Amino acid sequence: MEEKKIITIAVPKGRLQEQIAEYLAVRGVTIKEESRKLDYYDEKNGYRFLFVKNSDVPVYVNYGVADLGFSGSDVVYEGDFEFLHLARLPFGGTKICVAGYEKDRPLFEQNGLERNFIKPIKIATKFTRFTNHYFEERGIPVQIIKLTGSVELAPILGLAHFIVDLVETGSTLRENNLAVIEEIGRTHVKLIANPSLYRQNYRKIDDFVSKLQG
Amino acid sequence: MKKKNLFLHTPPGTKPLYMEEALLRNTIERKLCSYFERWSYQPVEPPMIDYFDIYTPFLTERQQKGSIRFVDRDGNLVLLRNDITLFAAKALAVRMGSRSSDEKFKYYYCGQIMRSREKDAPEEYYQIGCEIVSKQFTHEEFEILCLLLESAKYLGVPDFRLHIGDISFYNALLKDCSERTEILTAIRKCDLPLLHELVNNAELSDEIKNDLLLSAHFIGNTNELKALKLSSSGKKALEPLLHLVSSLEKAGYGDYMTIDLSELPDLDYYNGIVFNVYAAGAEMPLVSGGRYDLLFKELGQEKSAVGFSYWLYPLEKVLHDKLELDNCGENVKISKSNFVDDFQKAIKEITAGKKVQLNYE
Repeated sequence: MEEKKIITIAVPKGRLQEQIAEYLAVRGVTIKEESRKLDYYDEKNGYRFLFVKNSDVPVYVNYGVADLGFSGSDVVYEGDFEFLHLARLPFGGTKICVAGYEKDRPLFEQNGLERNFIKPIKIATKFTRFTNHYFEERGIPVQIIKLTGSVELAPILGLAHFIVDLVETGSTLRENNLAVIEEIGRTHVKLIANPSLYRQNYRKIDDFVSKLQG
Repeated sequence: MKKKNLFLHTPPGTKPLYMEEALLRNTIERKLCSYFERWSYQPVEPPMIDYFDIYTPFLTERQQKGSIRFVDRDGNLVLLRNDITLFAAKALAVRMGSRSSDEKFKYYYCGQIMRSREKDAPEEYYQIGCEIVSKQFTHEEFEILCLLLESAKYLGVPDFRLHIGDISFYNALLKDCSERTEILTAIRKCDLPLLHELVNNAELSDEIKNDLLLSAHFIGNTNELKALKLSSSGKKALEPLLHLVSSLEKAGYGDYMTIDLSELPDLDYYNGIVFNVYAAGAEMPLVSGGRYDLLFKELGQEKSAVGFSYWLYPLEKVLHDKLELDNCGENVKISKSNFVDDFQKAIKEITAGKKVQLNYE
């Protein structure tokens, strides 16, 4: 099978894009973001970078628009698509935590540790699949409410007792008088590949992975 | 939806095919089925529904969740066909019953299945496949791979390649390993950091650890595989695959295939070769298949089984502008005044085997 000359890589827009661009620049691969342009073509290396919303990276890779994508393991897990996980990047990792008011900690502990299900817990989160799986595995009944942004508002406005969210420094939580109740997972940035497209271009993709790890 | 259009609503995932799309599918189906018949494969038509509990040991959690199930009048949980290979195997196992037979079954099938692709709504898929089931195998794996590669050439599939691995190689290395499933998943996902972590922490000999780390990401030809610095037991475990691929190379298929030791199934019933066919322009494999004696064992039959299935959605994607679709026949004019005679002439042409297109004046 003739290998393609160009491989397409989906990159999440925002802070992670800057970190990835910086990391690749040291390894001889340039990503330039020209204003309002949605892609960048590195002619020298034969890479086309697509700048897409973080949560859409798995979708572009799954449907074969991009051969590869940089994505957080949390986003990959939520997408529930079948990918190859070719590399992990040494930055962008963070914690997934249950957070809420300190006064509600006993409610979480009663349900979780003492298995005293007096009052069902309500949890607001973007990560519904992960949260569902976490509590289901432990046999703790919870009601999960899906939110897509400003998750911290949920306990403040009484929508949910707790939230499950990514926590880096914890400053947003503190500003809203919330605290980490329990760390329940870790995320890291991965290079994912569409399994079929990888097999069609594995030499060129392996070469990109080597550059990434170099 | 407007009230007057409500009666036309369609469940998500259904895929009606119209005109050219249906013609393309019919053309592919006819070509493949007639080709399989030339190899003396017999048609089978597995049922559309069956009891769910029979299939639960063979389906992954994802497949179970992605299947369509319902309760019948008697309260039994019924599964809508989600994999023809499974349904055909079960139908065959029922036919075999308790007879101990040396009969060899070579069959093909085609039809719809409903399954969810990852987290999306269930979708209608179409499979066309071939299987060989018999008490013992001699050259059946070679036959099924020749049939697959020749049928792809016969269809005119452009720029395709078969990637073949062998789960029995890893089964030999990991036979007493408690982390077997996790290690196989890491290999299947090409997750080398995780694989290193798992292998280093597993209770395995250094020789096996080395074999696993060397082979997990191997994609290449027989010479490259022979050059891998595997242990003698690792090399021995790869002998059947090497022998098979060498024979296929000798038969002239070397340009159509690659040994790929990361090709692993996510289903437990495979016990030997596992393969997929990829083609430029398709984001999913065109064909999947392998050796699955363990499925028949679970169904109560000590048999060897090997087969493959074409997935029509990606196949149609790569063939849509490649296949010649013979849609329209010769124009036959039907006049206003003498239409009965004109019709009779047209019918004569049709009876003689010609294709006609009736044009009214």
